[in-house]
Amino acid sequence: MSDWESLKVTAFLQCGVIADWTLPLDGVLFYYQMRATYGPQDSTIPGAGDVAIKGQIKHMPLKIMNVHQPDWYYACSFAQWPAAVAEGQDHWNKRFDASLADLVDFGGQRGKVIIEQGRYRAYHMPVFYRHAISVAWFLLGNSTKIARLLSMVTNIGKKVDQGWGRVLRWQIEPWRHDWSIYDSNGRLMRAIPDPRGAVLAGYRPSYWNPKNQALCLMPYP
Amino acid sequence: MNDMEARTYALHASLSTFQRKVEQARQIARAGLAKANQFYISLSFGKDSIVMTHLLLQDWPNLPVLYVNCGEWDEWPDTPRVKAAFLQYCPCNFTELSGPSIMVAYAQAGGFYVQDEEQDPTARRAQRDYGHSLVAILLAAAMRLDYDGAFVGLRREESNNRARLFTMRGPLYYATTHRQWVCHPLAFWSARDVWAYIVQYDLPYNELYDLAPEGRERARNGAMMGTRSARYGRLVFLKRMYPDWFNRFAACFPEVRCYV
Repeated sequence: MSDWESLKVTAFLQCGVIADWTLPLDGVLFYYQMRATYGPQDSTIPGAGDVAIKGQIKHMPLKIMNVHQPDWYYACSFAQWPAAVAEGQDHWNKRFDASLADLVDFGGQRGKVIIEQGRYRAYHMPVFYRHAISVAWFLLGNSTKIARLLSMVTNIGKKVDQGWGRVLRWQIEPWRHDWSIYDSNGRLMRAIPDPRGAVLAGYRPSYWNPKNQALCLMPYP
Repeated sequence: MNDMEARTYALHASLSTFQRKVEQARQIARAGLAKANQFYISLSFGKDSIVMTHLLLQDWPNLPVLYVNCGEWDEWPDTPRVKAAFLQYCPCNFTELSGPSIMVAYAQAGGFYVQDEEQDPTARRAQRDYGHSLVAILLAAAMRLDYDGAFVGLRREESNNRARLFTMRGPLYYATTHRQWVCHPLAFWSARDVWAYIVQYDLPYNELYDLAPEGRERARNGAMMGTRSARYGRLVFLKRMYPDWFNRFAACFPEVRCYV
């Protein structure tokens, strides 16, 4: 009997998620599988976190499609948002706090705080968020292992350190159809690499990595 | 542009203040034409230069138009469509020149950098050379074709530097280093005036203004993969508007993802 079950995974959200509509769950699982394999991410030393990226990630609890091909990918749909989704724009900011200027250490010499570049560079960066009561994914995977990984996932999307993307609870349920790649109506559910595709996009985690990007057939949002 | 925006701009176009702005632009252009022997229009297919070109060609249809095409990384994906539509709408003596790409500047600098904010002298030099080469192409073409005046669609509202330029020199001046007259008929227009003109004459415009999250009145059509204002989300907008192009760019310069 196959290890892979057709599953529907649902995240119930407490607040908005900074992500585009695709929000692939295999990327989230990939990250937490990596942490389980290599331990906590070392973010104190520049570049130290990249060491693990060079390693091989094994035991992902998701079925691999296109096995033994260079453009393999996981059987996991993109996020399926409900009809009622709120979209919005916010900003995160970073600026030098002049009231704490006396704490700046210039090594006993005179110095200048430059906000255009360097350590005190100021930022006013927009972020785009989506919010819904819940968001779901369909996948082929091992429900026990997925539940174990998701138990560590408290937030999804970007800027989770600022509180975005808080997940109230995860729900994993068996699904009678495999909708990980196509749904019952033949609608594409995720990006799949195909030379006929018109869009250069990621098709497996890490989605940002150019090595994992190719011309893809994309589902419509 | 949605119906509400179009109606708002149409109402603005009906105001007497707007009519005065149009007449003022014509007067500035007339004053410029009296100074030099042969003016040309500098066209980038952004909203301002499209409006200026249309406004000038209505009264002076024989004015030559120069456009510098800097290639796929600098021109927005919709520019070819706008170019074809505008030239069909407004036939003119049009010359297309080939310009430098911002990618050359990045290559010269040894990698991605944020324009105007870089401490590295190599990056500063690359940026300066890029700007100069763009102007040099226009100037060389103007010299070759014996043009001694340029209509440029800068506006005072766009930046402090431009406001200072018009305060110091006015909308018409002789640029000694370029050895040509420069005339800015839209110097005192607001973005709302520009859009009112576009709606009034139903001019074609780039889709980037519809897509830009900062709004059509603040959106700019500079080098698409330029990094000016990266700290204020320019690349975030670009990624959202054209994810495919952004991925291609990030494949060349992965560090760009630090700004999205």
